[in-house]
Amino acid sequence: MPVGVPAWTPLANYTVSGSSTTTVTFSSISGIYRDLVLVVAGSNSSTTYLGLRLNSDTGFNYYYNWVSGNGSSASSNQNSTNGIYFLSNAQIGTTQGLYKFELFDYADSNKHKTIFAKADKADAATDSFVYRWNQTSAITSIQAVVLGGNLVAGTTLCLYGVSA
Amino acid sequence: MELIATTTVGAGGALSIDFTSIPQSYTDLTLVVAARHTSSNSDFGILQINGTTTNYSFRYLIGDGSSTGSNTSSNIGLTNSIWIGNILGTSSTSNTFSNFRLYLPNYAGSANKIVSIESVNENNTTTAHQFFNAGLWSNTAAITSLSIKTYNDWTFAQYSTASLYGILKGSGGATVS
Repeated sequence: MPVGVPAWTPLANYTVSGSSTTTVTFSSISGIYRDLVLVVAGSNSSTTYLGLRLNSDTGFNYYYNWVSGNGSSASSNQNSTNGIYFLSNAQIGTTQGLYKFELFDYADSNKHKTIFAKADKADAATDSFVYRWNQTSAITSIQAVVLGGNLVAGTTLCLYGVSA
Repeated sequence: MELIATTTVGAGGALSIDFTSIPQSYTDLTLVVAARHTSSNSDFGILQINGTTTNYSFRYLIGDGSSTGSNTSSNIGLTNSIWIGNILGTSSTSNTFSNFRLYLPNYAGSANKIVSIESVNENNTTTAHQFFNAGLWSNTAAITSLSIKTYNDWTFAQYSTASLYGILKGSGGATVS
């Protein structure tokens, strides 16, 4: 790749301010890319689950399996839930963490959507999830939520489009 | 994502792979490495930031083809750097390199610095690994340099490569609220 040629196109970004943010919504997402990447970096006022809801879908349409290393043991599980949550060890909490979501073929109406989600929190765990959202609709909105407390000021959420 | 710099180790080898004077104009960094060293057994690959040897911690998950495990930097006694995965040596299958991808969000900001690491190598033996690591440099300084080494200061082999990319946040393709 030549120097200066972008492969990720920035679509939108949000930096938390104040102490009341529990939800950040990306909407009217352009459909011209192949994949999306959402990078969340920061912390929360309390330890809780960070997750995504696609196109406002709160049904149990998200199927997953995960692997986790918490510093003492490795574990794995599978199930379904009502959003793309890190339901293992690397919950968002009061210390810095990175939560990266890759949404493959997000605008392809022929496919259920595959999401690779990775959480890295040095004082808790490294977790890797694969989710299937069982809808063929193009993803046009992503809602990032925390299920308790609030996102701490300075936490960043950045959305990128990846070209084919 | 834009390429900042790339390097390939020449015939003489190299004791480290270094990126210095990193521009502060991006939001995040990602570093992609393919490496092999010229000594015998595989060795830890390590990352040091801004030339420092303190305030590192990490927690990892590893699988080697026959078992899985998880542990911490303090438990294994590695605190002067962040383990990025194992680098294959001459006892490994020839022409086989270890691959690493590091993601460093908000590297120029004023919070402690996260390093997310994914590492793979395949050697058709039990010394091959998949490795995920959550690293932290507990330092609020901006990251201006990155150095990759082997734990035992072995020499990187010819054709080892490393590429540093900058990722810049922006807007125009979605609405956020």
